[in-house]
Amino acid sequence: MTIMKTQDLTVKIQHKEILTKINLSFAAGRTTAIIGPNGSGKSTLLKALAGLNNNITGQVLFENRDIKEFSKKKLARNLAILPQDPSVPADLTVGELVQYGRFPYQQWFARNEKEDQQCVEWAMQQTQIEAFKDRLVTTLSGGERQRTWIAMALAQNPKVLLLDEPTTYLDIAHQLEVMQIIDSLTQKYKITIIMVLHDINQALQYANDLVVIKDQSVFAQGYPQTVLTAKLLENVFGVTADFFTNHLGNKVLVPISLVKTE
Amino acid sequence: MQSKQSVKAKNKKFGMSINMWRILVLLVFAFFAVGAVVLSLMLGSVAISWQEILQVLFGQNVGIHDQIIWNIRLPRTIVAALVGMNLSLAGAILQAVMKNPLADPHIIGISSGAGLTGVLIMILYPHMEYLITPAAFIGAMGAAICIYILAWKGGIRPIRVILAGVAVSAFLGSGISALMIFYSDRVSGALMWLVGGLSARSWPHVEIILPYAIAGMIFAFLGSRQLNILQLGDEIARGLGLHVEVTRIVMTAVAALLAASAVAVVGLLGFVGLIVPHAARLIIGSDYRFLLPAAALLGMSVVTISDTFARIAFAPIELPVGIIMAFIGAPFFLFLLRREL
Repeated sequence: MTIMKTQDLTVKIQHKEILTKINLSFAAGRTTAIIGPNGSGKSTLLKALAGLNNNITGQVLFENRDIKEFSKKKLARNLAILPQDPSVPADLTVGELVQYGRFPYQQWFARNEKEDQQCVEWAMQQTQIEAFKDRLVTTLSGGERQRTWIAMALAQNPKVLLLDEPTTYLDIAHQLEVMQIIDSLTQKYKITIIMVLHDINQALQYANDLVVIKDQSVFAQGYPQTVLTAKLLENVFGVTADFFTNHLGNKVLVPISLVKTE
Repeated sequence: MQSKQSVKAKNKKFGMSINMWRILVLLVFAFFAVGAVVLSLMLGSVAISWQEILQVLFGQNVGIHDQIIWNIRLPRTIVAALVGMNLSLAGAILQAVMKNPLADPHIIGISSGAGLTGVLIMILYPHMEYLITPAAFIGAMGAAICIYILAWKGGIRPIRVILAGVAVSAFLGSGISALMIFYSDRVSGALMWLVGGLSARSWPHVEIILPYAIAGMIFAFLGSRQLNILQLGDEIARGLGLHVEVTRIVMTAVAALLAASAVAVVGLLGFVGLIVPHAARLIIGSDYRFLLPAAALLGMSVVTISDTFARIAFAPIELPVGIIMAFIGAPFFLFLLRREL
């Protein structure tokens, strides 16, 4: 079942076309990875899916309805986005930040504090950050901080979680930790994940579907293990690479060198 | 930040939640504000005991002290407290809206905008005092919009806001000075007004500021949750379903209204909107639901106490309160500049 879809989506930023006529559909309850070279428009695509960019032509559909028909808060109850490298005020605790994820559910005078509290606790459990909920976000390590942001997005109780390079700047252990948390969200709660990834091996290991963006448009899409080939890497990234199969039977990529351009 | 951490850890020990602690701090601040008002009523060229003040306020005392309190000290103290509240709230709001720890209505030129149009009304229509605040509001809003346009380059950067503000402030400030020199006969106490002073402020001034102070305060408190979300950055705020642009415009207007009504009665009083919200932030944190009332109460105390000091320290000469504020404020600004940018 398709949960999100784009129809001839074109995005301009300051009169420059960043994405041209993108047609994609995303299956519910699955993990989709978006990869592509720097500046290919991956982050722009993610933001357009979340409705953060107003300067678009074409449509972004959520459950077959144009996201422009949703109120901003209603959209935020269905879609949560975590941009790359967000900053926080110096004196905010982990618990407080996660609570801000409940903002789309709160009206000026009407709020369901019990439900808010349950959701916040659930989000902190899923991301394993309960132990430091009273600490200041600024004192956390990179991995802990990223889990806190994911918890805030989860507190929105979204059907779709959009993540922009959730593992960048983290060491390998913390990368795995974050990826496992994300993976468990689809496994246990059928949350649809759409994420921009830098690391192609992570896409191979964790994604059900893959979208490859190059030159403002979709270059390829499909099952990661079949889409990712030596030829594709050459065409998209200009890199030659070897593929191996690891002992789990998964395809693993090792980049070798830049393709020589004559 | 480290000290804050330990404060929080201590709270856990005493079994007190962080919100309990914040409410306690607010009560202490409220106590300060009341204390400042009482002191301001007591001290002056004639000392009046607090017992006597109570009698006067409850209408049991008729005499010369009754006159001093009702006609001189009480209105001036009310104006001081309201000006302190308005400027502090305006500063706290601007800091979130402009994503800038150094935002203060005076520093970034909003006060100068209010001052210019305010002075124009004083010169052109001196008998229509009730027009001063609306005119000052238009000037303040105009200055704020100018700063946004000048500082906007694919987003707002703190440093550009400050630089644009300095330029706007200097430009408008020169206009004010020119007007005051050309029409020195029509603007009484111009010098006092340029640095911000409370000398001879009385009931008419209370009437000018009070309605705007109440309205501004209500709107500010209603926007506190939106301001919290805005602090997380535009993208996160949008992702959480906040109308970022609308919030920014509405809250800038609220800040401009608060600052303008203060400028209309005391002139260009600087640094209150910078010092007070930061001091409050250090003690109570950045949650605007608590920060705004804390800044309001602390602002009342700081300006009231500073004005009392300005009245009595060099008696019989009375300093404009703006001199005291600048004396404390300028070093504080430098301290923040080194720490935050």
